[in-house]
Amino acid sequence: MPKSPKVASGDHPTAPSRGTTAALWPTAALSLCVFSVVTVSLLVNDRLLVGAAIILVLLVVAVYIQERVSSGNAVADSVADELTSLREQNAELQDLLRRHTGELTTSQKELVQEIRRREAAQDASSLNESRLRQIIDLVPHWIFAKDDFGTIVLANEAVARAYGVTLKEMIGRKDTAFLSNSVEVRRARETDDIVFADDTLTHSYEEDIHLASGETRIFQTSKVALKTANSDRRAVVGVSIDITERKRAEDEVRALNSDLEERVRARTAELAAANRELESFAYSVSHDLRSPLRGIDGWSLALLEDYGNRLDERGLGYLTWVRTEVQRMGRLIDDLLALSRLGRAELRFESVHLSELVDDQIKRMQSREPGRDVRTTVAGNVHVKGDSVLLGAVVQNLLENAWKFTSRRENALIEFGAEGENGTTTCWVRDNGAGFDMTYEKKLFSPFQRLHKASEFPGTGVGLASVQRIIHRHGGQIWATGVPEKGATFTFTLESAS
Amino acid sequence: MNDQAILLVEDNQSDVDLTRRALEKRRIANELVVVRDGQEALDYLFGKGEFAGRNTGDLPSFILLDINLPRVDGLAVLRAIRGDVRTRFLPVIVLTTSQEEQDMVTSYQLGANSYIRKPVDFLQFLDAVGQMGMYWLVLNEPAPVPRSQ
Repeated sequence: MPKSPKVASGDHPTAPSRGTTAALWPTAALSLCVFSVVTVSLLVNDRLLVGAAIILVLLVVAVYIQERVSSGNAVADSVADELTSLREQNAELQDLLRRHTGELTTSQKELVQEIRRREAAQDASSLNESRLRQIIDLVPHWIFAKDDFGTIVLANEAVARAYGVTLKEMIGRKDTAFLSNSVEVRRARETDDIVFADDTLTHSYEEDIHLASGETRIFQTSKVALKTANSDRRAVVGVSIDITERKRAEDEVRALNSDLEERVRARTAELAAANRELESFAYSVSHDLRSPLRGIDGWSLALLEDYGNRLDERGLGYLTWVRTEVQRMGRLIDDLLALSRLGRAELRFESVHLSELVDDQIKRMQSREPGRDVRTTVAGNVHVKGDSVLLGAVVQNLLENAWKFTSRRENALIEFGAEGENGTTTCWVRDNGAGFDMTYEKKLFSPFQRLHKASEFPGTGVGLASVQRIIHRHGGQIWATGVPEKGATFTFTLESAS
Repeated sequence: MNDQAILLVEDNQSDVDLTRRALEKRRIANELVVVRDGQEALDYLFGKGEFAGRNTGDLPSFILLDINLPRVDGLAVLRAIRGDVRTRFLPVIVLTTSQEEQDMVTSYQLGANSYIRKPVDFLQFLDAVGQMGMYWLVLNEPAPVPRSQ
């Protein structure tokens, strides 16, 4: 129903006069606006807007006062009071406004600084990220990450290159798109599951991987489970290193080793055969050379016994010489065979009390030649590791030498000394006998080499060769020092016994 | 002193003659039967080959057995002697030039009564043979000879 003009023109009992209504209308409208703005500004809690709202309120108030003054309806005194009060309020407001503006300026500066800091941090972080990217792309080994659906979320250039794709073509695709057979797929799943089952575990294994180039290479892969940054979704990170060349080298080394072992076995067999040959040679030397010697000696004796009365003194002398020489040759053969046995005899290692062996040997020599006056000093408690029988032969040979070569000394002196260091015992047998010229030191240890006339000091020249062989077979060393007519020292090393 | 023969198993004539002379020198007059190798020795003892028909109950008083022999070697002869009931207790003296310890050990293991290494010095050999002869011919009481079957 349309409104009647009458009603619209003003039948309202409380309606103000038209002039007053016209004066108040803009003020009310403005107040409404200000109220809205203040409300909004309070709602959004923005200091700038609050400041603006306050300025608007002041403007409205000023307009209102202007209107009241100009209307001329107000009482002059009350207007003056109101004006004073308003001015005071205005001053307060202005002061408030200044303070707020100051605060706003400060906080805006802080905001700008904060923004700059964040920008700088972001720059640095993106710089770091691109550097990290460069670094992982520089690594020649594969670096990759997949989620638990097998989707590739990270890969470096090395992986992409091997599969003949770009990084963009790789990221976001399933690993199965690149694996070339069911074995590789099964292995990928199995090894992913292993690290997902225990995220503290780094699982490493070797695998054959078929590459885009068509060749299959061997990789050493290590996987570990990770939690991704933005969700609970799991991821597996892996590093694969191409170890094909290393494996090839290892195989070669293994092949070479087994070849070497084979050769060592063959060589050992050859040596064993040679040794057996030598043994049978020694046996036949023993038998075949000694037999005729016994014949020569036997028949010389028969001649002496049966026909001795028909020979003159000189003839008897010759026959005696035949027997002497034959017997000497017999001893040489025996010594040679003994030496060859030393090289073949199996060593039985035990703790050997050398001092005791030395004492016993000295006693034996003294009882054999009680007329000799030889002063001896023997270091006590010398224990070494070795074969007691063979070391007994060493002691016997060296001491008999010392005994023999001091036979022309009045104050004969034989000393057995020893000192241990780092598990090795260094022993020596020293005498003040005939000594020797150091020029011939090496000859001393060669079989049948003698540095003295047999008429002065008898012997076959095999003793020291035997001693050297025994010491060498024990892993030790032996050397001699001497001065003619002053004496000799034979020094040898053996493993100490605890 | 018994009058049984002495069996010498030796292929070297010089050694045979020297042994014969050594025994004579020690006044051991028992017959010296010489065979040249292990096979002959076994033929003699068990009445085979050229010794077929020999009375095998007629055993030597002892055997001087060289180890290094043609055909059947001394150790094999020793084994055969100890393996036969007829000769099980026959005294056997192993003679050898070898000083190989293994020979000696094997000889004793096979039941040799004595092991003598022939010395180069013939006087020593004479002594050894003489003592052996004396021991086995004079001092030793021989084991009862089993009856031949």
